[in-house]
Amino acid sequence: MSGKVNWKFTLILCIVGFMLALQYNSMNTPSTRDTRDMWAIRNELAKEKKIHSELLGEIREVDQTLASYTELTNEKTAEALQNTLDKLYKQAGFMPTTGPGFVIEVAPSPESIAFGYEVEPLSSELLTRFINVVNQYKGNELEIDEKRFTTLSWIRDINGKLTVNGENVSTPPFKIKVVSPTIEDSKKLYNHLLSSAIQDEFYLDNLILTISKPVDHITLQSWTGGFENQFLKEQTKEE
Amino acid sequence: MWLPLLGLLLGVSLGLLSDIQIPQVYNNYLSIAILAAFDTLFGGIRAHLQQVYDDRVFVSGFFFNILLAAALAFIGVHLGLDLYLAAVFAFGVRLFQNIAVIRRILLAKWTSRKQNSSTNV
Repeated sequence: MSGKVNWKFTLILCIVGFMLALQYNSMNTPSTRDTRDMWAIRNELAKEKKIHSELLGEIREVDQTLASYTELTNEKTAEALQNTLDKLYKQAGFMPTTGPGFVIEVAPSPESIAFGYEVEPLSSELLTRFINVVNQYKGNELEIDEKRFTTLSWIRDINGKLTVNGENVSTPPFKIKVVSPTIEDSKKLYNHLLSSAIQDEFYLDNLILTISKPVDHITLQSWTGGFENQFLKEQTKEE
Repeated sequence: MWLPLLGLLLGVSLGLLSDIQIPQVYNNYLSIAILAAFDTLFGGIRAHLQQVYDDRVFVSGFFFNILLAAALAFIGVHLGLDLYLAAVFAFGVRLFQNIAVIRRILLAKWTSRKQNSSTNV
């Protein structure tokens, strides 16, 4: 290869290399631009931090359980396991719960009584909506007309009658009890319910919610439905 | 022999370091231009190996092919017809042919060199 040819080849190859690198650069950059402003990023950061602290809390709790297991002598192991079991039962709603909370009374509105309207049963959609509003705050437990509402519960409209866990909910008035982890949480939820639009939604159905002030002790009944374990099997000792 | 490779390296590093990004809309043009550039490059190498290399043909071919390919892609976009596929096809076929010819020439050279060395011994 003569010197002149060599130079031209070099130049052309340089251009080709440059184009290749440009293409590589362009293909490797994300196609969607990050258009979040400072505020949006701060919001997301706050969300992540909240998850972080929740996870830390859970880890701490599990660590404590683990520490209590390791510290125990053989005689007390059964007791510790029983404690864990009780805790899980409580979490699942299989045991009566007492805690800070408040009572909500669902009753026909005075106007509907004055006009002589017939009191209709509560609609399942409205009740589901109400539960969604309550569940915007974490850790709350519910009892609807003396039927414990857990993660296993269901709300159905059966022949025009509202049922929770398959049991009829009486036509208003009836009571809904809400228990929160702390009295502060309870107050927060109370204020949230007072300010939310859910009261208007109930009023459209000629019902009013009378929310009593949070108190320290409200007792919820236990879940009576039992439960079916479809996927887990009990392990025998030999295995 | 090493100078062109050095040029390629220089070009790649320049491109990577400059951190220039081509907008998504023009990505098609750049990729087709790269294909055209490769086609001309391998054509040049083949011509050189066949001893029919011409400077002017090579350099003009390089730029002309790139422009033609980009123009085809441009017209294709405005006509709503994927004309750039024509360029991809043409250049792709030629690229394969050129590389095949280069391979044969190199193979022939290698075998003849081997025969020479064995006869010398």
